[in-house]
Amino acid sequence: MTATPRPGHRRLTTICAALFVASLAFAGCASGSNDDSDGESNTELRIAVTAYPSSWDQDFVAFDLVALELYKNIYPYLVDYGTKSVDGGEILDVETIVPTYAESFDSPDGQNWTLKIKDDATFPNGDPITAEDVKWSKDRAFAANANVAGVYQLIGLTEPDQVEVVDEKTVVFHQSVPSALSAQIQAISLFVYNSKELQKHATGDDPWAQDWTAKNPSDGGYFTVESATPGQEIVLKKNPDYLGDNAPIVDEVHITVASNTAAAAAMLEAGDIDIAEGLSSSEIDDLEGADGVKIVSAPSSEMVYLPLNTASGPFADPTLRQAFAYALPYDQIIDTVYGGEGRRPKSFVPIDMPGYSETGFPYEQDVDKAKQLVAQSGESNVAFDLAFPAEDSAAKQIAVIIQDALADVGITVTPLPLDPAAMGEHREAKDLDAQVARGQDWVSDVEYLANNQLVTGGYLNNSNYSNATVDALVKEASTITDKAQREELWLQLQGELAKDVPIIPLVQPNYELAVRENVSGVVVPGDGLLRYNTISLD
Amino acid sequence: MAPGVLTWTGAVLVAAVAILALAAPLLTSWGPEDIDPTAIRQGPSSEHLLGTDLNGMDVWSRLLHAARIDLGLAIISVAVAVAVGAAIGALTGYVGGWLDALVMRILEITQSFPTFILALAVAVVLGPGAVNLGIVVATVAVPSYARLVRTEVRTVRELGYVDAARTSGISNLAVLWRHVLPNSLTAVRVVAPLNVGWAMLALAGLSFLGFGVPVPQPEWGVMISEGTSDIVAGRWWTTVPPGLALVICVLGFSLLGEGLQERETRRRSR
Repeated sequence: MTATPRPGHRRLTTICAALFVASLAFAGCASGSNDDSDGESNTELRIAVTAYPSSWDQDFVAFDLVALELYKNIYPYLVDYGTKSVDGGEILDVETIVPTYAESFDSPDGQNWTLKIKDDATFPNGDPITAEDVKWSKDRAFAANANVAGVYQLIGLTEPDQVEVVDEKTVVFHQSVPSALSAQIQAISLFVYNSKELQKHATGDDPWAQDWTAKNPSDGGYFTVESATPGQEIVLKKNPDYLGDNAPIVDEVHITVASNTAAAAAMLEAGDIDIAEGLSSSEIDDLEGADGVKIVSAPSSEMVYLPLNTASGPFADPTLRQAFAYALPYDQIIDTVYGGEGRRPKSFVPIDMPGYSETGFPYEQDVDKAKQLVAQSGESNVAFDLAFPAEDSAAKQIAVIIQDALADVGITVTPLPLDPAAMGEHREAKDLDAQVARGQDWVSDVEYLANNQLVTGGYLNNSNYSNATVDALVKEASTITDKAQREELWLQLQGELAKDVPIIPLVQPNYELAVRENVSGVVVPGDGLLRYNTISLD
Repeated sequence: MAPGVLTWTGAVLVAAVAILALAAPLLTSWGPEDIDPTAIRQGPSSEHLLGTDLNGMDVWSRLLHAARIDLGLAIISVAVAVAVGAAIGALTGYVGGWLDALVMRILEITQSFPTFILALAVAVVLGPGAVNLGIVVATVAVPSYARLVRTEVRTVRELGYVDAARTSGISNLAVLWRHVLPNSLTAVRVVAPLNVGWAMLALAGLSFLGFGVPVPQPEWGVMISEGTSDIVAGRWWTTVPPGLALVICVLGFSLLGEGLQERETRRRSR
């Protein structure tokens, strides 16, 4: 090895240089085969994603979207979301919960919920799904502090004793309080592990078989896992024993891990796959009108926003937070980054979420007002780092636009790309001045959103926001189930946010999915996780 | 081809890029980071000579200003590598003994890694940024210069005039600085221009992989990286110009180095 080209190889070096540059320039052009799409089958759905799931254990995965989507399609959920038609398209209806393996799931008082499991409910290996499986799964969540244990706290389920086995097929959940969130929380939490199978793999050091479960799929939902080649491909098969009314239409799903989104887009255009997931807005734009490709687009509840650190740094001063809010070119961000395919929320509460009010964020771009507020803050040379996930091209564009816009009001912004690990560490330490974030609430309710992101010490409270009034409002709402009363509380909460500006809501980009023209039945997921069971190939 | 032609062709290509880089503000009315929100991903026009990128930034302006970073950083990196490498090579070559053996083994270990992999590893440790990028490229280039200079120093130190200098009572450091080092840099003078081309490719490659200059500063590798999805859509103007600029620079420095090498060979053979 040498950094110095040898004399006899100089011309070769020149040629290699040209080739290297050409390869750099064309690196994004990796594409699949140009073979004709004759292989398309009505029974085999082909999907490209850009990452392999980090684990098969749903209890301990939080931010891996590919894995979370897979779980929705393979884990046996006892209840599921319904669907509803909006503007000619189908969307997941998070307010309607339907039984799948459950015979019934209801409560006379909103506090004690009885789950009855269907007699013929089985796991793929033939083991019956029993009340003991539910109990063991929830005991596991509490004991190992799994994701489910976190969300159960919101509905007053904090101890294993609150999950009672009545008989072989009946379980009762005894919440400490009645909650308006119970049905929605259970719709995302009522999946079960085969306790008999997992206990075979439990050890003294690992009583809940976490090692084994991370490496082996726990299936039995719409689909079962036929095969999985790490980093390359996962093959799912329709689960013949699935008991819900929303059983899969296609027989098989082949999930291919593409090297990047450009490769996935090229594969879709070539007809090598039926659905390309994870494409950027500009890649979707480029595919619009491509032969054999169509774009499924619908308003979504995903929120792109800027949490500002209210505890330290420049944004500890609310005047500067307001100046920031006045300085931003909201429409330019929607047009440039999302090609106009998005809605501008006037609150941190997403549009369409019950309780949304435009009083939540009454800020429009007003550069003079922003300058005036900067002067009023008494700070000179205001500067901060704006962090964004390095792999998120839309976030990067947003950071660049914000840097440009804030220069006009005398604020220096340094865009700071962070890889996922670094971003995770900073979010845990909550030490970023400001960041570009995005998220989608799995429960369409302000109480859920506020508990995660606005309440003092909330798990996702990246603003370090602490407001006694907000905390009190959320606490008050936790035992109120009346819709009108709750919406009154949310109005007050949004008034506090409008004044304090701990978070700047930017845009709710449309849900967009690039598919082949013969793909139909896509249900727009409120949580952003595509369900394969409703999809068919014409 | 006559060595003079090679040298002059290389020099002209490099000079042309350098002049364009220096005159960048005079050659465009757009700043490299100015956003034109009305022109996102637009093709070449009278308003934007080479079109605009995904942010609505002028590609021609970014291309010119990126030359300042790429060319400047490559030249500085190689200069630092030459200085550090020559110092190490001169010292170990002149002193010899255990110091020479130890340093040479360390350099051999360093050189046993593929250059770009080593550069990537150092870049991961240092993190992104223009200064760090320069340090990465200089670091991986140091061993080759150290070995080159050491070899020549070990020859020169045995020559009669160096012996004469030593016996006249001049300190070893002065002998090394005044008499040995100046006569041990012949190979370095030839190799350095070639290495600037390599350095530009390394810088662009690392930037392409995300270890480059901060967003949204212009840099050719970053421009190519950001434009990859544009190629699929037929928007050539965001990637082809920075790619060609790199080709021209690398070609220029290669020809320049080759010409200098030919000239040196002829001089020695006379």
